[in-house]
Amino acid sequence: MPEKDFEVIKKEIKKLVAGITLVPVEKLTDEARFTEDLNVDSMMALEIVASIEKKFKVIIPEDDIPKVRSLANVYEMLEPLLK
Amino acid sequence: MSDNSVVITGIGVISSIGIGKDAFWKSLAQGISGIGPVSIFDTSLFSSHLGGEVVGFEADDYFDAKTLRGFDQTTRFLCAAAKLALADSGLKFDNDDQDSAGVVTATTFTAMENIALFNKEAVDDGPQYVNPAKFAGTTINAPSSQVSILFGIKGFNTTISTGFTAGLDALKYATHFIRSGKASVVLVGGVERLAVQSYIGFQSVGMLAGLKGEEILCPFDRRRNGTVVGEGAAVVVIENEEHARKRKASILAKVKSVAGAFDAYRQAKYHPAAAGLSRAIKKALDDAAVGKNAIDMVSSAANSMIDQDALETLALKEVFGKRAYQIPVSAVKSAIGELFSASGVMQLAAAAGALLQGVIPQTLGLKEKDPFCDLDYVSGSARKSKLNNILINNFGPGGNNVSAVISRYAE
Amino acid sequence: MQNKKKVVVTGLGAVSSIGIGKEAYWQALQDGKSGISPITSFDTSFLRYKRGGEVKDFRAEEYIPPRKAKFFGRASQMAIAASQMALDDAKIIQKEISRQRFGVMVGTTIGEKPLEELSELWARGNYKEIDKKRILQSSVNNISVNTAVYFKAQGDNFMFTTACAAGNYAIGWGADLIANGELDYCLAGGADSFFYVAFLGFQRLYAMAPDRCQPFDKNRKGMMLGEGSGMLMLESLESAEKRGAQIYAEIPGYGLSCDAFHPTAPDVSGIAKAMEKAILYSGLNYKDVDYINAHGTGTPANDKAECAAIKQVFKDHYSQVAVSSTKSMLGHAMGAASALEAVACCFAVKYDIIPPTINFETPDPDCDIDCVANVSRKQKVRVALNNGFAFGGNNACVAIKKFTG
Repeated sequence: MPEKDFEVIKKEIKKLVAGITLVPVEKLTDEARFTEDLNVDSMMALEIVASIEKKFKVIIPEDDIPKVRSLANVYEMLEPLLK
Repeated sequence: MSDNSVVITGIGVISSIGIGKDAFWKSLAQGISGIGPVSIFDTSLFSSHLGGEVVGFEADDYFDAKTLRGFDQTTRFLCAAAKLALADSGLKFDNDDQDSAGVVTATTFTAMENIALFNKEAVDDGPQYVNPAKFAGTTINAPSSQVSILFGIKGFNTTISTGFTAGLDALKYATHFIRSGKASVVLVGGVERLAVQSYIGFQSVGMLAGLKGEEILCPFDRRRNGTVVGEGAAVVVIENEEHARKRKASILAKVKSVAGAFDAYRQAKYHPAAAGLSRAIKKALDDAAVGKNAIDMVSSAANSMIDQDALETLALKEVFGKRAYQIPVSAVKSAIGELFSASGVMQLAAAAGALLQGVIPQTLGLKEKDPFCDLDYVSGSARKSKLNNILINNFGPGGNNVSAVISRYAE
Repeated sequence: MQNKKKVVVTGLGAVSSIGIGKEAYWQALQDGKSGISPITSFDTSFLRYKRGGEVKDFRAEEYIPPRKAKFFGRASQMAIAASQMALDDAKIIQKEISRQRFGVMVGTTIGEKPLEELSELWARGNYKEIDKKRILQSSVNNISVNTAVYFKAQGDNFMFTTACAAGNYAIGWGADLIANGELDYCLAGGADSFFYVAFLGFQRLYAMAPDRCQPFDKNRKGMMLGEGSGMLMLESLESAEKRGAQIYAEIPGYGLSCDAFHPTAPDVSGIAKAMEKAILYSGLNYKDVDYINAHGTGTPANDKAECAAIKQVFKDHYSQVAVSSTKSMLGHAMGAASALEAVACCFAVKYDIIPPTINFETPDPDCDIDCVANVSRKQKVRVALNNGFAFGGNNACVAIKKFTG
């Protein structure tokens, strides 16, 4: 997948996560940890995963879900699934 | 011996005729109607188009964005009403008293919309992509549970869904917990939301006005041909009298009794002689030790359905005999519509206002007399009157009947 | 404080995935039979996991005249069948009892199948296909109404929708109304039929196990859904003794609490309080309890929290209390769950046999209670606690006591 397209996708993901966590897009860093830094509880984490799955029509394997701890993790997980 | 008497110490209302108990009471006194064309969904293909929509309600006046994110409209209505009721009562729950307070909520049709939307997402996007955060909202007890979470109420949390009578059923449940000493304070809530899924249902079974006649809401009127559905929430704080007096609470009224009876007659049909309703009324009077002559007003369940209004009239005559003609009968649903499980708590809120302000709300829309409905329905305008004891009725087609007696509070 | 009457259980009815009828149900519980199987009553091709505690071979016409049965949704059919069983078991002749002092209390989560059909039609925009008769049967309180109409019960009539604990709420309230003298008889319990929205939802929450339910096991993967109905005939002791009725158990009290914590996650102190109150309001001591029929859904969260709560309530004594989860056999029958479990508790206190937690292989140090692993046990049961904890932290624990006359 071309670099440019994935940058667009990253922006969309940020928007999704901003909408769920109510943290403004500008304050969402790739490294910020969902639980410790962004106040994301288990239900919200599930919501983030579900909304990404729905938007990009992918299924994130159940065992990988606990690994999704920050936006950086989301990008890592999603990129191969979109190819 | 303490009898653990039950009193009302706070009221919160989110309604189509006013937000907050004062606005609600004022509108009732002024004969304001909350009925208008439905705006929250398209009714152009339906035979009915009216509804009692809540207006002037801004959820962010009550809760911050983070809290609201998880709340559907039903939960917003109920929690806002709870917030108003608690503010009215002056109660706050910290560690010591969280366990001695409870919540009981009357609501029946609420989850239908959430279930349908959850289903729709499965149909539109695929079953594997439903939203997990929306699942908890498909259970009918979700809004009630949020009240506990928001206000730290831990004694118990119960949701009752007996349709038309759930409001007074919830009151009965709550008064038991206070009388038995298991709770000092109980929030009695009722909520229903106007939603297209349930609207279609009510219309399809012929409950709504407009199918067989003019689409008007006119309880007891000769032209009545169905009801108009409304939405809203009311929360009434009931409390152990001693507990209330100790904290110098402002006491609004006394709850004397709540009694139920079931017409095991036929599916979705009224008992032709209103036998169950008569029994419920009699039992409520007996339990309250209030005689027939001591009732100054009836808050009726009349909702402009042909049989409903006639049967309540019949039951009142059966119980009160000739005296029935002297008791003013008021129909709150004439102003706000049929709110099913929320009706009972709305009626309770209205009755408390009537006692405090000495004003019997007018039954709106009554212009043409029905020979079978010949009692005093307070048509024309609200009436000033010193009131001591009010009988409140809840019933509907199906068999449930519940009646309550509330009284003016005298120290 | 009014003088409370004693409340006893004189009849039992069960429609479940491990047996239909109280004898079949009780035998299956003792045998540790699993009711989990591939689901056949609806299309599971879109579901990740396709197994559940389905009630197979339930024919409503065996209990209800066909012309009446066809109007009822499945949950009502099961509730009425279980109620008929309980009535017959109690040897109550309807003509001879005061109908006005005979009530019906039912707990459910979702209510009736027609609601699901309607919601499906709406989701697809097929308004015109909506059948009026089905709409009349889609209101959630149809179950309690249909049951009361069927049995001509003219006393109080309540529908509790406190989800996974609803059956206990119904039983507790029925007991309250008999204890304070308003009713002499009460059919109380719960009913729920399979609802695919529940399957979608629990799977989406990753809360569901693929093959079997393993409460308290270290490798437990989640809950499984079940369906059915359990109904108890509650009666005042006075009335039962007068007519020489058989008595299964006494219901001395129940405890409610609300976590006020989270819409779906359980809270240890909330759960503990429900159990403590059940003991307190029953006039008992925690050392009187020999058996707990756990909520035990098999999710990592519930079982851990429940065991921690049990330790809190029973202190050093906790290892002396047998704790089993019959959801290991039935799955989670939602509104019917705590009612079916109450039926099990009535048998347990009457016959001193404790049903097992099946599918147990590996102990979990976080759940180091005596879970009656895999095989039922003969043991004296003086008091059983029946736990039910619902979404929203709605907790209900019913105490069921051996009747000693």
